[in-house]
Amino acid sequence: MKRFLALLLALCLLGGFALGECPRFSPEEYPHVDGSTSMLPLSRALMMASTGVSAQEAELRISHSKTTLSFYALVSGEADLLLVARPAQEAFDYAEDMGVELEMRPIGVDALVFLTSDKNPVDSLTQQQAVGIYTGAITNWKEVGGADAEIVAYQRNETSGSQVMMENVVMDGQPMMDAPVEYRPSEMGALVDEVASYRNSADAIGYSVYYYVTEMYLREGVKLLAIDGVAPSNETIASGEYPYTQYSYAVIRKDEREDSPARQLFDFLTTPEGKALMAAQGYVPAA
Amino acid sequence: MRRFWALLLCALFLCAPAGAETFAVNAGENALLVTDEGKALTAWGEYAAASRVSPPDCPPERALFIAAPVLTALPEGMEEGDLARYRLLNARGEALGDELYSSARHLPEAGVVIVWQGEWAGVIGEDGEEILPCAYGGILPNGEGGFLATPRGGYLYDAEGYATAARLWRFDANGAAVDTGLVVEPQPGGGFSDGLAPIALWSEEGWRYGYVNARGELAIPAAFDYAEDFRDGCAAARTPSGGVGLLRPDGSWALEPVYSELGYLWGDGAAFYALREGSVDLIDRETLAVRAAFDVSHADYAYAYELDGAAIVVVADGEMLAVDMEGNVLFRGDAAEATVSLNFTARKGAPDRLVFTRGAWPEQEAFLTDLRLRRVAGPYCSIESGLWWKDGEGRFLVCDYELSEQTYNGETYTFPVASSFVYGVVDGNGGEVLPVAYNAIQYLSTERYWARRGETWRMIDEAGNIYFEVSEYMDLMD
Repeated sequence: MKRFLALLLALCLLGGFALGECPRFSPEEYPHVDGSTSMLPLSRALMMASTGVSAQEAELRISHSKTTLSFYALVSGEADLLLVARPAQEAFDYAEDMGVELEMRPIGVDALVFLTSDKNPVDSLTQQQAVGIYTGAITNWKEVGGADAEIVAYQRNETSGSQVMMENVVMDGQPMMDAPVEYRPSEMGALVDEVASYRNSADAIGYSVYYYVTEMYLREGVKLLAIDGVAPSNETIASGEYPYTQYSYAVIRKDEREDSPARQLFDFLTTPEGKALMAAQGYVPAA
Repeated sequence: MRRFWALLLCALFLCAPAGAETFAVNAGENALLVTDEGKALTAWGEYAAASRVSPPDCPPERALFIAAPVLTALPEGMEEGDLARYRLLNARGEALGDELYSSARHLPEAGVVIVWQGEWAGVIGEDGEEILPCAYGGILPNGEGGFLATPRGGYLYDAEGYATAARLWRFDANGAAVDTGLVVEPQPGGGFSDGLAPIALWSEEGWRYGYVNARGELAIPAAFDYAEDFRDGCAAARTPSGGVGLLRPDGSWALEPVYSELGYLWGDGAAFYALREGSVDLIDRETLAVRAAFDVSHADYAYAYELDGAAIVVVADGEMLAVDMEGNVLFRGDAAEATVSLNFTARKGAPDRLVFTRGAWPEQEAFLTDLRLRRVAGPYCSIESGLWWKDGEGRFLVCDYELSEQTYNGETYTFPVASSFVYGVVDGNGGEVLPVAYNAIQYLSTERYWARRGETWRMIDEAGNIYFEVSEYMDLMD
């Protein structure tokens, strides 16, 4: 029997029949892919695998509007396929208002991780402490075993995937305190307040998605905190031992044709080869 | 022995390599000062926007910049929605004090920086030390270490509280402050050259322009409707009856005011254009002799413009005629069907290339041509600008994009796809210098470009070497 199956597999391979091979398209046929910032490397790798373009060309052709905005693009038809974290509810409301049904399929698992300066002696927080810092109940690092310094708790913009994940997975309905703001000139030159960007001072804490801070932008002087003693890693995220995890998704419009490039790539991403492509880029594929 | 060491030191200085050049670069919501060797002089996230305030010919080590700091709290007196203010930085990325300014202009020849806080101007030295506080409507360095200025306290107001005029004061290098007695426009905008500055004075006939000298004395009486800065011993001025001519410093006419427009001050060629009724003259810049005259008496409307010192274009009722600085005809055409343009960011000498564009946007075709409009390269979707021209060699920024058709109310329109714009750099023969594959390209110098691909900005040279690289996503946004 084993010999029969081996022979069958060899024949299939010789015959060029590739099970779950990445669908091939020309760059002109390739669908417009959008999504979260953290999914950019996968998006580019997918285009390279599908069209054969170089990494440089993929870098030029692929740009993501970020999590929530990419949903607007999909609903309006400007995008065909999203590789994305869960967006803010307003994106789903918009799709419903526009009468557009979406199809979402989990393709990966990512985690929300907390960042501090490596000069901060605190290495771990409990889930209760993480929530307490961001409700404003805990205001000094000494309350969580650190130095006597006021905690500067940075947040993300309300529509960012990180912020949505923070609210869904960490805060669990508890209201977050007001975020630190900063003032920058707008395009017209007028000062506008924005949620402050993370600044890696010794008293700072921030959060982002695990893949982003470990694979995309490894910043010197930044460390990730363990939660309940569990440090985030590919293994603890895949196993669920690290508590703050969430799926990332491939999303298309439900009325996408069966043979359309967008649907073909959408289907490919949950095949073993699609998962292998994800893993090769450092992502944790969904089970 | 001393002479030997002095000579040796001089030789060392003369042979020492030039210092690194500093550039202000913007990457999304952040800005940096970076040297041409790729060293960042300011921290990421410290500034949101930055630009250079020194003229192009300022020595690199004295170049100054303004940068808008990212503020965690608004300074006293400022509110959200106010225009952003900027810190002054030197070429080493060091802040020249803590003051914030709305804008600034570096005058290296005077060794000072005119700065503004809102509508009020002041002066600081190149070290950031205050010379005059921001309390003046206008400030003119007089070339003798002092200034002519209109202090806020000398403003004159009408019954409704609007500033209508101001007293002109002189501030000498020794600190003395003298009321010149002249009543002038509240915000004089001209500048001193050849020892004179144009300024508007109030008279019974209304506002009239004259020229003041470094001491604030009226050197040329205020008899003109408009007056430009002096250049090479002449200044264009318009009489109340509308005639434009060229004045000498003694107030006499070097070129009689029989023209409606002169391309004298901002032109760059050996000749400049002069429009008058029925004719466009080409006038020698040095001798003021008429080199050529072109009859436009048949036209209802005629105008002229200069192409960066290379040619003069005359357009009469849509008929285009281009001539060189000798008055020789280069080409003719229909201005409604095509445009000929040229505009370099940095230029030395007259170029021998033009940008010719035909067709309607966004389906136009752009070509690089010689001065006789013979095609050298193209077509491109667009030739955005000349980047630099020097020693007979040039670089041009070209653009390509995809088109999309959209139908609204039964009408079909063609638009460029915003996400498809890509840019590249070609030389004067159309040879590729940087591939048409960048999301943005900015000229920094003949040796450096600031270019974006995706979310990554890089300082590169024409060989593609990368000197500095940064991502817009450094702030952990998603």
